[in-house]
Amino acid sequence: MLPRKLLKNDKFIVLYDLWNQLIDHLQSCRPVAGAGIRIQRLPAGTVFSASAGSTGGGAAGVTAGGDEGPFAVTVEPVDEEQENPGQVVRLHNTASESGVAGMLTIGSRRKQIADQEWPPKAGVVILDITYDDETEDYTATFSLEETLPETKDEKRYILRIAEISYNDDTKSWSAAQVHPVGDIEVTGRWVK
Amino acid sequence: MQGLNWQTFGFPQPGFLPARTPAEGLRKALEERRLPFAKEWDVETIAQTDYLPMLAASGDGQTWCREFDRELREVARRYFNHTLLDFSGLTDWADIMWTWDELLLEAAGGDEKAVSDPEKGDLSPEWNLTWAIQRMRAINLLLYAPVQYLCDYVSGSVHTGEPSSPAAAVAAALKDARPASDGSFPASYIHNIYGPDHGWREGSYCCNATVTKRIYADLPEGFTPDGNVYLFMKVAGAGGDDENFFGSGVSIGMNQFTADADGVFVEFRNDDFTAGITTPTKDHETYNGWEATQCSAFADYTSWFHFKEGDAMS
Repeated sequence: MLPRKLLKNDKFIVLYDLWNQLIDHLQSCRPVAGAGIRIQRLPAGTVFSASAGSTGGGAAGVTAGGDEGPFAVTVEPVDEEQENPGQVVRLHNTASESGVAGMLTIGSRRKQIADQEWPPKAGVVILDITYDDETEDYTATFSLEETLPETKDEKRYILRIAEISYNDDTKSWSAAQVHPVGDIEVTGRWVK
Repeated sequence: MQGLNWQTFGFPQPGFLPARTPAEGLRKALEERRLPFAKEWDVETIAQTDYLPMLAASGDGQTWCREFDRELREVARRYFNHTLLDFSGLTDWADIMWTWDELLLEAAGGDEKAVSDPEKGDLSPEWNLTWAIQRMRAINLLLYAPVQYLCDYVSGSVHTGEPSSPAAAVAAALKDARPASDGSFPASYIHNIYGPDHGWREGSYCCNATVTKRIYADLPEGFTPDGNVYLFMKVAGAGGDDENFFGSGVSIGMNQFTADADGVFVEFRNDDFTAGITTPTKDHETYNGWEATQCSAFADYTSWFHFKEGDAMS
């Protein structure tokens, strides 16, 4: 609720209350992403985009139309309150900002992956899965690497999620989604 | 042959390998288990054949695994179940061969709940690691396949109208019996016929006689089995009637023999087949003795197989 205007005889201490009420009101007016609505806060401005046919959802996060959904990689400002906010590379569910990036399925094992963030650098966001013969279990790691790891280990599976690059003209980082947005299932491997 | 073993294809721990590698290993191992029934032992073709197109044609993992199981089932039932410890209770030929359920249970370590059988439920995930390991174990259990056996026997007959008694007809038939040796079903029997039924004088008798002397293994050249060589023979009374049974060294039903160092399963003593003989009458022929209705010898092919337990301990 918008606070009242200042009056000539208002005491100084009243100013504190009215100022805080103004801050509360501005925060309530701050746009946040909802179902099918995506917000990008960039140094040059704020972009609102909507996706038709996208679905909101809980932690499961189904694949949305277009580029909305689980395991989407975006570049976003760190603290938009600052005059020159930094940027961060985020792996998250852009259809449902629940803190769960998506569901990873390897064989009969399903794992909920939390949102991930990294300082921006030119490179590639990957999913790196390895298999331990002794424990008969899988280790899955999401990371932002400068180059795509090369390996001849057949028990290591690397999935390219997105590529991160820097634009000298706009002085900003951008993400190009490589793996289609959606929950990830590892198929074509002998798994428990 | 280099590279043709379980380890090349990721076993005994094929976990998380790409589908093609363990699948190709299983396919090559299955093809090798067909060799004892093939015209020639051509393992080189198996080593050189690329089975990946067959993998792609199946589509998903579940379909491929189901198809593989269908083929493995057909091959497995032709192998002798060498894990049988007690042969005394055998009554039928099927008792000695692997059944699909027995094979899967043995491959699952005897735990029925652990059996991975796509026909009994959804095989999920589609490339099931447990299924692959159990199928490797199942193939490793297929070791005893048929080998050739031979039996030495004499065979003779008399159809002259001269013998005036069944015993005399038997003696005449065996007197000029010719020795022979082949892989036919063994038998020892006399077959008496009333003479006039064959156009001979009243009071005469005709006779056909076959007497098996010994049965022995005829192994392929260069083949030295690791374990025992077994002979299983299902015996019935001569002429298809167990009432006619006579003879020593065998009994009605399933008989099991183990080859000695010379490969001989059994040597039969000379029995007097005229003892207890039933005199034939008009239109009533009589038999005395025994005949095999099924007979097969099995040997352990481990020394010839490339895919076997030992190169992939699990």
